Amino acid sequence: MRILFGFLAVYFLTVVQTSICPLLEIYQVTPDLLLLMPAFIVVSSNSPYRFLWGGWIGLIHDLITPGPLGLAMFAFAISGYLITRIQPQLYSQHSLIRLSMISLTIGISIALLTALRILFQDYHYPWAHWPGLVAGITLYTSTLSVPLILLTAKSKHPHLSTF
Amino acid sequence: MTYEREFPPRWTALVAMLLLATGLTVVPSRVEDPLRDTLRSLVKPGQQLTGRISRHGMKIAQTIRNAYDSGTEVQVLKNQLAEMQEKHQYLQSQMLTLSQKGPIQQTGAWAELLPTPPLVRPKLLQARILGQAAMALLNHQHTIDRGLPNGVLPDSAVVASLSSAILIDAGTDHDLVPGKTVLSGNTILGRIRDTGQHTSVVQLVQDIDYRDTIRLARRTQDGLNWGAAGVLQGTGTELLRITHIPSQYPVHPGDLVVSMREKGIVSTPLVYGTVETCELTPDRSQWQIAMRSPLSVSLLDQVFIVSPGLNASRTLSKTPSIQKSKGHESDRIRFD
Repeated sequence: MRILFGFLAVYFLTVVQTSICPLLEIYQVTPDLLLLMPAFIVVSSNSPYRFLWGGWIGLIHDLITPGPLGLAMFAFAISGYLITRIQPQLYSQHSLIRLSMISLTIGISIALLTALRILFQDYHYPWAHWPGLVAGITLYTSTLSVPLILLTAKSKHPHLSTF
Repeated sequence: MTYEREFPPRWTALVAMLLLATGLTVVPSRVEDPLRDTLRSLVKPGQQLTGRISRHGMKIAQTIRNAYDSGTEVQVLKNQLAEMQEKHQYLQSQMLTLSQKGPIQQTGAWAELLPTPPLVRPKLLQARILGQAAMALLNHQHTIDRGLPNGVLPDSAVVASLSSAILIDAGTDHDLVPGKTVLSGNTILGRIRDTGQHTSVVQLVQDIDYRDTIRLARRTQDGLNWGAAGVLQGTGTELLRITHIPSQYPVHPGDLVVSMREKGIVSTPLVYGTVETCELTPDRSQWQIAMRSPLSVSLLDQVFIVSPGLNASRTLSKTPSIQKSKGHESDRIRFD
C-alpha cells in the first residue's frame, strides 16, 4: 500500500514538476519537488533501505530532464544513504530536526547533482555559480517542505513535534 | 545495531544502485529515448489535467482580481463624487452671490443708479427683563391687573416658566403690540406675545409654538453668501429645528440662520444663531437641521424691541406733492 501511494505521489510530483514548477521560477531558480519527496522519505521513514527511493526517483528525475541518465540517481542515492547514517536518533521526529535533515538532504543532493552535471558538461555554468545555484534551490525547495512537515508532524513528542 | 540483521546490507544496496546509475550514464540513445518517450507519454495526461486546472484557476484569480479592481474603482469614483459635490456646493453658493450682485452690475452698466432712502426704518425700544423680585413688587403695588398682560399673575405658568417666555417692563404705554421682534444685539431673542399697560410677555425662540421664516447664510471674505430659505421651529429645548430646506442646497454646521421677518426694515441681518447639526432625511429630499441660539436669558438684563416706522425724510418730501395732486386717491392711500 505504501509503495502504491509512493508511486502515485511520484507521478503527481512529476506532473507538477514538469507543468507548474517552471512557472514558479525566481531568479532562474525553480523548486525541485522530485527531490523533496526522497528527502522527506529518508527523514520520515524507518526502513533501512529508504535511501533507495532516492535512487528510483532520481532515475525519474533524469528521464524528465535533458542530459545523461543516472546522474540524479547517483546523487540522490548517495545523499539519502548519508542522511540515513547521520540522522540523529534522539528527537528525530521533532519538526525542526526533520526540517534541518530535509534541507541537508536536498542540499547534498543538489550539490552532487549540479557538480556532476558541470563535470559532464551538461551545465555550462562556471563553478563560481555553483554555490549560489545550490543554495537557491535548497532554500526554495526546503521552504516548500515546511507545510508538509507541519502537516505530518507526529505526536510522539507532543512538546517537540511542532515549532 | 540492526546492521547485522539487514539482508542484503545497506551498503550492498547502495553499491548496486550506484553501479546501475553509473551504467545508465553510458546508455546509448536508442535505449534512452524510448525510456524518455514512455515516461513523457505517461505524464502527459496528468500535465493536460494540470493545465486545465491551472487555466481554470487563473480565470478564477482574474475574476477575483477584476472584482477587487472594480471595488477599488468604485471607491475612487465615490471619492471623486464627494469632491465634485463639494465643488458643486461651493459653486452653487458663489452663483447665489453673483445672482444677487448681477442685476445691480448689469443695470449699472447702461444707466445711472440713483439709490433711494428706505421707506421704513427701524426704531429700537429698550426694555429691561423683569425677574421674580420685580414681579413681586408689581403684585404688591396692585398694578398687576392693569400692568400685566391679560391680567396674568406673576406666579402663573405662563410667566413663571422662563424657559419659554420672559417678562419685560414695556407695554402698550410704549406702543408695543404682539408680534414685534425682541433682540439682544443683532440676535433675535423672541417676539412679543402679550402686552399689558406697563409690561409684556416675550415668547422666546425656544418656545414650542415659535415659528419664523429664515434663510441660511455663510460668512465669507466677500460678505454673506445666502443659502436656502426654510422654517424655524421651537422645540421646547435649547436646540431649534429648521425644516423645508431642499437637499440640493448646501448646508454646513456653523452656517448662520438669518430671520427674513425684518427684511426691508433692518439693513443688518438679524440672526437666530448657527447651524449645530445637519443631516439628510431618510428619503434624501430635505435637510434635517438643528440650530442653537447663542443667547442665554439668565445672563441678559435688557433687550431691544424692533418697531418699524416710516422714514420721516421721505414722508415729508412726498407730502406736498400729494397735497397738490388731490385727485390721486391711490397716492393718498399709500402714504396715510
